[in-house]
Amino acid sequence: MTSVRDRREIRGLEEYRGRVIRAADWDASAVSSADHVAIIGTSANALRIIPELVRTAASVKVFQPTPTWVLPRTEVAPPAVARAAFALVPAKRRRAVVRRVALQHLKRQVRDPWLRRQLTPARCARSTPPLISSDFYPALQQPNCKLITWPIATLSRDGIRTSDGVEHKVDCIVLADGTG
Amino acid sequence: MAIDLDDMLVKIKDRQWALADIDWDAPGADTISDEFRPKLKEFMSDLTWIENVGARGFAALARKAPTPTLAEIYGYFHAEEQRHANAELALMRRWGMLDANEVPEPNVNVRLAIDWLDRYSDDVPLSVLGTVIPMLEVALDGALLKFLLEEVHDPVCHEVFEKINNDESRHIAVDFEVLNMLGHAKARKLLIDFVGTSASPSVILGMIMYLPLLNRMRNNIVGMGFDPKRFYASVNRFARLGERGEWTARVPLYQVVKWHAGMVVNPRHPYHLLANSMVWASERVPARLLPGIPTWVREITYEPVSVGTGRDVA
Repeated sequence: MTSVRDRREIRGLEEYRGRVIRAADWDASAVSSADHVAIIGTSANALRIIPELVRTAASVKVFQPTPTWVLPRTEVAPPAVARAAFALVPAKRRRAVVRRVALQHLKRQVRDPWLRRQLTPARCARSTPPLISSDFYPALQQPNCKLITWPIATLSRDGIRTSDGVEHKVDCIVLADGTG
Repeated sequence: MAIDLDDMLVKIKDRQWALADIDWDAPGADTISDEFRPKLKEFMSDLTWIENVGARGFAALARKAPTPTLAEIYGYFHAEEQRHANAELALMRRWGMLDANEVPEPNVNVRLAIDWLDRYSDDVPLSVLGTVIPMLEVALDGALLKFLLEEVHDPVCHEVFEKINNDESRHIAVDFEVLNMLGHAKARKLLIDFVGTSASPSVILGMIMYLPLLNRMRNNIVGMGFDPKRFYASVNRFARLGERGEWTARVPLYQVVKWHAGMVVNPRHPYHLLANSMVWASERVPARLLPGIPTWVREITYEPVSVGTGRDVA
């Protein structure tokens, strides 16, 4: 089952004959090492699932509609005092600090300038809360994983057609655009 | 006449097509003569790379768009230019111009343009790219496509370019709508923007890259035996379409590009001495001094269907 919003935003979902898994229902056993998998969206659930998928599946294509800032996961939680002090900082400045930390994280983990650009939110983009992951960027750069930022034109019987004219044939699609 | 960008976005989404919609093995590939094939290969290679240059330009515009709708439209145009490049590469493959996995090399001027776009386009104001890209679209893309349809009689080529032309007409409609929007700003802002951007090193470098690129294409068209007047008519179309906009004429850079176009279409103008010297000089840049090719260039493909990432480990 998919939500009404999924149906509206992803054209041709009913055409697709492969397996469709909602990120909220994710179960690692649903994907085998022979599967070519697509994951649509880079929500918090997607960031949790992608590294696992990359370790399991034959190939993983990550379809990213819009990039989000990603902060590194720290081993130790910041002390309560530091968190309370940070909460007192004006919202605009807080966002600037988050942006700077996220950008450093991105620069440290992604060396290719184009991939880095694809993963950098536009300045004018609607501000969304940052996500937390230290495994997402390394997973994207594995040989069996590819980030795709072309708009999705439609789903077809066998996979996903993007607006660059290419059909991505996949055995399974994980819906992780925040609606699933 | 103003266009509704929300309606345009819906139309764009409705009119998507894919390489898989075309029968690449349909009869007609043998209509290309052996004599014409090498010239056509060079021409198609240039065309493919110009689509790529356009694609990168739209990627930069998507970051500068003043509204989310326009940003989304530019996102689609970025992908559509890539689709055109992919389709043109697929035609080259159909005509037996490419060895296994071969991707033609971009010429030196295209390579310099790619490098400039990669380095500076994200920081150049909307007014610069929003003026130059329409010019490249009407002059290069428009002119080259017309030449091709006149010379090539392969029905698949015509099917592909009918789709490409339909996409391009939407690109041009939005391009000139944005130019008109740019001209709606206060005169003071237009002037400050113009002086500020014209004096920036990146824009000066961009001009040095743009002049020989345009002349090289003109020379290539003439070299293939085409009448350059068709190319000039396409260049003039930039001014014609601009005149339809209520506010377009107020954009100072539009006036500069139009003035430059006037020189390009006059073969006796001394400007050609300068531009052709730049083409000559760029051809003599040693290959080792040319900038590296960015990774987005590798996105080009003639395969309608992709399975895996193309770099999977066994």
